[in-house]
Amino acid sequence: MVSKEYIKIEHITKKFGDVKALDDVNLEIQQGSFFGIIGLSGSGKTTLMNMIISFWKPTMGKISFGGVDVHKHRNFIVKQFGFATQATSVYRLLTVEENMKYFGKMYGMRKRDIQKRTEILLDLMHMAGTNHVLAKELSTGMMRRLDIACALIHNPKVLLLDEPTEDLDPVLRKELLALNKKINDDGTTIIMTSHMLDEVETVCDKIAILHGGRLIATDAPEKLKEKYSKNEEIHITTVPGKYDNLVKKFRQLPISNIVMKSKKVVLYTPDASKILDKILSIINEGKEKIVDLRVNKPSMEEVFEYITKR
Amino acid sequence: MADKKQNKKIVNIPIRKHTSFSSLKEYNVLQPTPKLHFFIKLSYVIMKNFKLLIRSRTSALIFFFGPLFIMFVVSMGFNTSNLQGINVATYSESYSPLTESLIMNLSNDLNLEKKNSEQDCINSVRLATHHICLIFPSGMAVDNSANNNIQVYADESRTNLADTVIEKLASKVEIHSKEMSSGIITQMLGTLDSINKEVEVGKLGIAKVNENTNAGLTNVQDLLGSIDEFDFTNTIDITPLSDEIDDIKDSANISSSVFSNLEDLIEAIQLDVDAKLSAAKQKAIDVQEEGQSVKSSLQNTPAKIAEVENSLNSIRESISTLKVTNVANIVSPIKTTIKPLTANRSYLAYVLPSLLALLVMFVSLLLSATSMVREKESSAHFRNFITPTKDILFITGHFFSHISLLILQIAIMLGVTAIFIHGIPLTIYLLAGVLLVIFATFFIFLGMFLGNLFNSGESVSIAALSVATISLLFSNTVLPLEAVTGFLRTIVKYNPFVIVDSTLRQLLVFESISLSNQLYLLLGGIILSFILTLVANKLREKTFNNG
Repeated sequence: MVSKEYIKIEHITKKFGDVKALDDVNLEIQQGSFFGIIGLSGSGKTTLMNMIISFWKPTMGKISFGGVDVHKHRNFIVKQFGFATQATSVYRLLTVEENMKYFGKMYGMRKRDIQKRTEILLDLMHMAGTNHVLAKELSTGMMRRLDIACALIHNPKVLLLDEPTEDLDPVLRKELLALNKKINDDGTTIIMTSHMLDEVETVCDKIAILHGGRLIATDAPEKLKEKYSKNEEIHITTVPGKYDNLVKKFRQLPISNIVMKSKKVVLYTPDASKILDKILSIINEGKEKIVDLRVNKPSMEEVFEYITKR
Repeated sequence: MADKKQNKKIVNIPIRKHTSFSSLKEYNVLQPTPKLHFFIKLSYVIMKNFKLLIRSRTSALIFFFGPLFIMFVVSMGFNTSNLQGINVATYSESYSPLTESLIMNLSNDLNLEKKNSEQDCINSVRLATHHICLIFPSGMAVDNSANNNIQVYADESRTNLADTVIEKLASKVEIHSKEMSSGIITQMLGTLDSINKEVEVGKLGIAKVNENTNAGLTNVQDLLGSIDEFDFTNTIDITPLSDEIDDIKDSANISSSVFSNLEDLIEAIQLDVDAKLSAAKQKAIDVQEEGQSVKSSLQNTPAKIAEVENSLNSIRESISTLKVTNVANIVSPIKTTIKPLTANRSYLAYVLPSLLALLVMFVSLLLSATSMVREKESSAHFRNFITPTKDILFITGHFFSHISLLILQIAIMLGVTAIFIHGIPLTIYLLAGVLLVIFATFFIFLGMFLGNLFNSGESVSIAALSVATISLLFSNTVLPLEAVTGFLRTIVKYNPFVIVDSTLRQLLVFESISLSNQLYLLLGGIILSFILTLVANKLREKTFNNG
């Protein structure tokens, strides 16, 4: 039935009353890709995910999976997709195994398949031995993994992750992203929404930027950076860290923007190599001692800020 | 590469502690699924709901033990046919012996307390320290003053209790009043009986008088006849005597002077006799006149006697027309006796149908409504929507979960009932159980409908309680349905609570049942609430926001 294994979103508009949550969004997601959708809160990321999985119908437009209209073949579509929502969609008073069994059954799986699949997924999620632990007793990170495991129980072709690393500490976030990357490497197409631009940049093959319900840009991260940012970033951390004096002097250099962050200052310049010597001199003159100095390529954060503030 | 992986069909998966990641794609879950899946899925939904309820310990405790506790407490508390602890305040300016005797009579069943003033007595009811206040008239007595009106003050806001207490009190006073009436009427009847007897004796006397009168009349007539025959015109003829004297004078040649004195005496005697005859005649005339008057009176006497006799006969007849001479029947010519339709007269038997219906209604509504909201509030709820499962399965699953619990609870409740009320056949309990299950079905669907409409536990609880309270208020449990006015009374007849309450009453109190159109109404209500649930569920799905 599935002829082309990719998701095509055509002129999707979604209205809630008079409010347009999505406005004429067009996207194509390739099979096997790790697709990121970024945007501020309320930009329409979750709405788009809900429509991809055929939960909500668009006001206008069409979404197809492999050529099949997702809203006309809902029963077929929901079997092809797994969805891990922002709030973990598991029963907190059921054990890990009971959650897996229950949702497996809801997908119409056989008992023995559920059993085997559960073992594999729990192993994959580093949750072996937690079968009989109540979900409410799991840590936030473990709960999130269980949620993804439940989303994968029926072996979907596409996994939708809505803000999967929300509320997780950096270590757990990294682990989870690595896990998702593994799943993707295995051939599962992943669509992930996030407002954490660095993590999206790390794992996604392609990124779509939503802003105010409109799709502003879509491309691979590197291409977006090339397209929307000409600057390099110089991150400077010094002690005692009297950056006000330094910044006054930095402004005399060919710098497009200076951003003060906690305990560090970030300089945006088209070519870092041309001003690096002068920066070091200013720091020495200011009697500051360098703790860290890094030159980064333009980040998605800068791209996002540039695009959304246009 | 990915295509190649997905097309690969591996049946036997080695289970290892660290399974290779590639095994993720080693199942083809899209293979045809057995037709039994609806029921298998259903069983999983039901099991899931049970687990969620049981593991939510507080909910489980409330739903399992709440009704059980209520049944036990109510059964123990109301398993009596008497009103207990009724406090009655009394006041009278002057307690007469009659008042005291009445109070003594009342104090056998009621707690009586004499108050110092009428206002104290009334206030004690207002302050709810006493259920009722009795104001006895000063020096109450049974006489022609009619000073025997007892004023009763009751808290009418406690409708059922006020009615019951007043009824009980009225019956007590009535008994005492009847006793007094019996005494008075017995005395009256005794007097009437004496009169009756005296009249009989009088009648005999009258007959004798009549007889004597007739005899007297005859005598008077005879006497008058005798007087009439007497000739008062005749005088004494002294001629022979004068001739004899002349002869003597001639023969003896006695001088005329010798016999002149004698002749004078004879003349004097003649004159005297004449005078006396004349007086006697006059007297006879007087006697005759008097005799005529007596005769006339005696002739009228029988008529008078007949009148008296008639009067006495009339009195007798009047007394004899009193058909009711039994004291009890005169005191209460018409008697009402309330005959119980059942031998079991404890309050528990009467309160039980309403109690069962009440518990089933509240538990069904609250359980299903709050469960639906708990499901909605659960983060896992959304995942159900995105599985290839029809709405009807979840609705059916929730229904069977709840009805199973309700069946268990109904069994427990009826079991507790059987402990306290004996003699009800098992078939009656079974019928009552079936009826309650049908009733629970309606309220479970209604609760699910409410659960779908509202989004928070608080709001749905208030909604469910409101629905249950309306059902309760518009039933016979709190106020009689007959107190409901106009159009509403027509509607409340279709209140499921009323239907089940009345049918359960038939079953558990009278041990009979007549399933009329009401049952079809209940079944219609179930279908309607089921449809409403389906619609609300669909609406909820459309408006669900997982973002």
